Amino acid sequence: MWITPTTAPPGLVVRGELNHCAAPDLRTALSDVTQVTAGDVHIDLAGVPHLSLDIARVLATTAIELSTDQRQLVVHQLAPHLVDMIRLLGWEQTPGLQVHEKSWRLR
Amino acid sequence: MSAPFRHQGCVYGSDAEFLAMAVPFVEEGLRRAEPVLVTTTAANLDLLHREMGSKAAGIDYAESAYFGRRPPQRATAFYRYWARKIAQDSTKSVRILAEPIWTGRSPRDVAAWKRMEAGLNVILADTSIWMICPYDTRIVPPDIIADSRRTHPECVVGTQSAVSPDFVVPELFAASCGPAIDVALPADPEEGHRFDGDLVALRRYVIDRAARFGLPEDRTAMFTIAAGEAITYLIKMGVREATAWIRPEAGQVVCTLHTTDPQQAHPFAGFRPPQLRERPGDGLWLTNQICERVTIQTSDEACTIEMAMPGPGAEELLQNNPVHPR
Repeated sequence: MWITPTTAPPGLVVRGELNHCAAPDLRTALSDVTQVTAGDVHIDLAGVPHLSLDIARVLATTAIELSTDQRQLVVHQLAPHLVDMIRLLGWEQTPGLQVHEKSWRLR
Repeated sequence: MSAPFRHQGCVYGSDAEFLAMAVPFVEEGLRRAEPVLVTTTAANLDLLHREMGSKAAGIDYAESAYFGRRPPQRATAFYRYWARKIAQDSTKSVRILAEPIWTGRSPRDVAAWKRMEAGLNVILADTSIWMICPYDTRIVPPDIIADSRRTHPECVVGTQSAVSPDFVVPELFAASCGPAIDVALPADPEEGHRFDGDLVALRRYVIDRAARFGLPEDRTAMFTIAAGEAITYLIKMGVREATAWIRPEAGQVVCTLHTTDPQQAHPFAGFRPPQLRERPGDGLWLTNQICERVTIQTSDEACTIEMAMPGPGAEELLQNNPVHPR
């Protein structure tokens, strides 16, 4: 997993396969951005072909925390099958979570 | 404070016996302003609606065949119904009349549905559901009727309930359903994949093999999630090495994960939808939802998880694709 902070918009660009063991690092990176930014937090997952349940949980938890300040976690370029995974979980309506799907091929 | 989970079986042999149980159960729930869900056959839904007349308007209903096509979806449907209803009023019990469908099932399917009936005692233990599961002796084979008394702590006739003397601890019942997997590993090791902790390599193997056996790209992508969560479940239990093998089988594409690291997977893991707070086996819920069949077999010597995806010929999955008129 590679994490690159961005300032415009404030957030992260993440690349690589996001397994359960990446969850603590992602959580920390999102928390850092959340604390230095007053508005919405953006995360670009265009370079992520896979994420685990633990990673989805980090995204949902962060979104809920942001929603208490009327802020959002905006997920950009999420692969279609990962959008399907979020929907299966029933987490697409999580307060503070906004997901944008990308057109994407597996290979 | 809401009531604890109750799980009762009802063996009946006529429409009158069905109504003698169902009508009072439903009417009492409606009178108490409790949510009431009836999920049974189309024939029994029609029977109940006719009998109750205008009072039936307060019933939530579903045909069993379409309310959870397989056991993990069925258990999830019950849980989500309950969760939605208690979000409106947490003090209420939630009544569910839930008749499983047995006709036309393979022996493996029947075993899976029996295991789920036992598993509901564990999966829904912390809910305030009162569930009655009717079994129709006119169409259900005797062995399934007999097992209903082993999987339900209580039995109901009409409005009378009694403790079932045949009830078996759910985990023991699940084990008694027998080994479900004839564990087979590839004769040619090159056909399999040796997992040693590299999740990326495992998923690459899944993608390559699934594509070779003709799975469409979207189904392959979901298969990688299913396999990834299954191996993550094993890793979290301490497994370090496993063999993966994917092959076509009976119209499906089947993935076996087999480890000789001794583990005892919980027989009912992966039946409840994950929440924000992690519970053991959460990820297997995704595996269960994505795959057509997931079987877990554990012993003191080994643990095997077998996952089957609908193969390239699974027409049911293609029916939602638009067909342009010619």
